[in-house]
Amino acid sequence: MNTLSGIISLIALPLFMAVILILALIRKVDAYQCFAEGARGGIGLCIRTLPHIIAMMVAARIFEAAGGFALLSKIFSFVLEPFGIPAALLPLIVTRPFSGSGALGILAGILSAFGPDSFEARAACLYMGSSETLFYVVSLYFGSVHIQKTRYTIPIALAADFAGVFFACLFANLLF
Amino acid sequence: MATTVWVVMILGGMILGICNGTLEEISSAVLGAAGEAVTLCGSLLGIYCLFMGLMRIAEKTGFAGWMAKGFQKPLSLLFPSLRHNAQVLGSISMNVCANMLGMGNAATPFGLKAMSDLQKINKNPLIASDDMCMFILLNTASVQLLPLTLISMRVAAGAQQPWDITLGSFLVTLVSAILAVIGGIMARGRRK
Repeated sequence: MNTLSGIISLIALPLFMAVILILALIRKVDAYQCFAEGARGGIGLCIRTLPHIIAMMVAARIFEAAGGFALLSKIFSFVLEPFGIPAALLPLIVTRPFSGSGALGILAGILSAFGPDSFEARAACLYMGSSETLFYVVSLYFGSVHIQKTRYTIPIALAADFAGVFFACLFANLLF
Repeated sequence: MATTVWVVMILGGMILGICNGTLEEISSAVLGAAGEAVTLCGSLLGIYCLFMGLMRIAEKTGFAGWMAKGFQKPLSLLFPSLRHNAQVLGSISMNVCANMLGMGNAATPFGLKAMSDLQKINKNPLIASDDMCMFILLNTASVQLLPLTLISMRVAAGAQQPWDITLGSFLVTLVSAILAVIGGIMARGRRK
């Protein structure tokens, strides 16, 4: 399981690059120009994220240095532990549906506080990848067509988000 | 909510620090973290640029469109009333596939197009239709094929094998997407 997961994870990116470059050759698209053009957009994206990362990372590190994560575990582990969820993920879980860059900053804080190869960091990464800035998506798309009643969308999306936390921790345990 | 978490973490940390007498560690953590954040963004910058460059190639070569064609049939199962509406299904499929590739910027216009097409066939323009709810659920569950941002954050944090989360992240996102879809199907037709 571990080695298979490692192999698939390892070849995913190179395979993707090879496929799109071959496609570009077949369709006669100037891949290099496209790349440069697209890459320019990454600069703005990174600069827009930087303030959020600084803010959240500083907060996460303060919280960690003060023993906040340890305290959180003490308080909430009786609810979260039966599901295999470390309490250190709480700030991330609470922020994620509301702010993508805020959550990214907290994730960075967890990675540096617990070490990138720790269970907490891996579970946080898996959860981050499986979730979306739910409230932003809902308000953007429903707002664009002036829908007022979103019916069951938010409860189900939130439930799936929480299920994501559980499965993130489960897979972080199983695969590594 | 991000604000609440931020303030609670900082103030809570201060109070705890005073109680536990760890104010010194906190001060050094603050300064260290600000510098670390910039280092992190430096390595994120490289990956973001690489990623967006690759995605532009994928966009221009029609990779996303090619994927979207393949997904149209299975997606039509989730939108029974759109079975004969290839145009709306096409927008939905493009949005879902662009999201899977992490092309947020490319996904949004297709998503907005799909929503406005769905609104045209909606019986009550103030209340979301089942198809709209299903579409949003698919969107928020966002299956992701290549978690490049996560990989790059792991690179920046000094992980031994930064890419080793790729499969796990795909599996988790797949499971939560399946659950969202099942929930959507079960709730279909209900008022709330």
